[in-house]
Amino acid sequence: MAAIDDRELVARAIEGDRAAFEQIYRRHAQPAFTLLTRLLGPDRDREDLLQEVFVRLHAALARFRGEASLLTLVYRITTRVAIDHMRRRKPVELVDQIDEEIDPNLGPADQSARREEIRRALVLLARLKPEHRVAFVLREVMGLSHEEVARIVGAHPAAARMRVAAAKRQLAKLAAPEEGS
Amino acid sequence: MKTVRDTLASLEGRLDDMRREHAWRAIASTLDARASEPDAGRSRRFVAAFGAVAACVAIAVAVAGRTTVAATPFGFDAVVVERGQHRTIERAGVTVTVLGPGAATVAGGGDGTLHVRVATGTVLAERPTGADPVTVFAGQAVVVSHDPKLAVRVDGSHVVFGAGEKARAIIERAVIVSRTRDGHAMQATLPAASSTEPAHATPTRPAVPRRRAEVKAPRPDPASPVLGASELYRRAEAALATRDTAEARGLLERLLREFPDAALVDAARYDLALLAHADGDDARALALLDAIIADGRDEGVRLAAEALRRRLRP
Repeated sequence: MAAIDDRELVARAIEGDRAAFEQIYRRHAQPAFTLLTRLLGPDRDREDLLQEVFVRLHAALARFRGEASLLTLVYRITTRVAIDHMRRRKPVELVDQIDEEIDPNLGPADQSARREEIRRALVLLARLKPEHRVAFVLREVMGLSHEEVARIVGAHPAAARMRVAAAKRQLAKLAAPEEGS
Repeated sequence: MKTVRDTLASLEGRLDDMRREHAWRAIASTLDARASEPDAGRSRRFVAAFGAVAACVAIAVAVAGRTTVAATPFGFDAVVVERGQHRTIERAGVTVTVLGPGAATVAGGGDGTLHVRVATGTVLAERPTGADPVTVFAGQAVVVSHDPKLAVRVDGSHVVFGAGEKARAIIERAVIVSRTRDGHAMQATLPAASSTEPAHATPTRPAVPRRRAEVKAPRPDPASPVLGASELYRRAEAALATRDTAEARGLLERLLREFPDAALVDAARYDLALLAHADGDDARALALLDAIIADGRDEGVRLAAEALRRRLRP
């Protein structure tokens, strides 16, 4: 099964082959979870959101034509689920599982510094519009091309480029007072 | 800026085996529930039938101005609840509470689970140990739950599920929203802002008695645009949604300052308490909650404040 490519798995999953869809899940759950983490921080709802991503993916497979990779479709659904979550989440839920991302082997001072570094990055990220945040993370953090970002967010590449630029400008502006102080 | 990018890139979001398996079981369970659904054609007909029933009941509610539970000839109970009210029904040992405004149907499924379909609003399913699992259909989502408490909120295309603590949070939020989006939230609203409110905003039975003649004139801050209480609260909610807590706090405090008699005061104090708690200032949070409990006029917000206070200081 491991050698089967995504298209074959998709074809089987559409036919109702649960094992094929499970294989798709096992192949793409980690990338989706990483993207959720980088968009939302170590939010406690990520597991629920991951489930929602794959339930939506299952429904979307019938429309998958293979023009883009399956991972692009997974990222597209993941970003939509994350944006929905950003819009309904309250600030008290911002960062609640931050310790998951801290190496327990670090000393107390380093752990504290790392915690503060993550908290600061997420607070700044949270100030961006959801669409800008998604574009920034996909391009600058995940390292995707503007064309790939555009396919994922369903926009023209130029629009994706503008969103990334706007996010970078906004982040620079937000970070400036802190760095200056 | 580089630090932000590098810090985010360092977040692995590691999905360990246990969480991966747990998530897969939940996904498989949801897909199984969908597969056991009637075929798509029948499903669409059912939705149409349900829509017609719900619409009829909703019209009856609008005309009669009361909450309704109707046993339908299709073998399920249709529940339609108006804003500010709730209705509880019990079936197969499971207690289902619909918070208004909301519409749902409850039926025993042929698959050994209780089927709860939520058309709109917030629903809480409480399931004692040994009772049937609950299958909840909301929007495009289907969830089979063995949890003692499961809440679901359907608001347009948004669907939120939560079990345990999250269920409680969803219910608390629904209580607040049901009070604040209502017409009684407008009693101190200036004409400039009132145009943004829905035309149906006059409640048939407001939770807070409306004493328009006794409402004091608002005292707008001359340095700020003239906004009504409901517009201030709406903007505060928008700021909260984007996690602009400073903006939200400023708007909520302005609401308290300029509209001390508005029905939204209790909700504003509750949100300020949540913000204070998020900032680690539990003393301030407790003071705000105590104020709601002491003189709050909104029963729903007061209950939510009492619950939050118990959590902050058991």
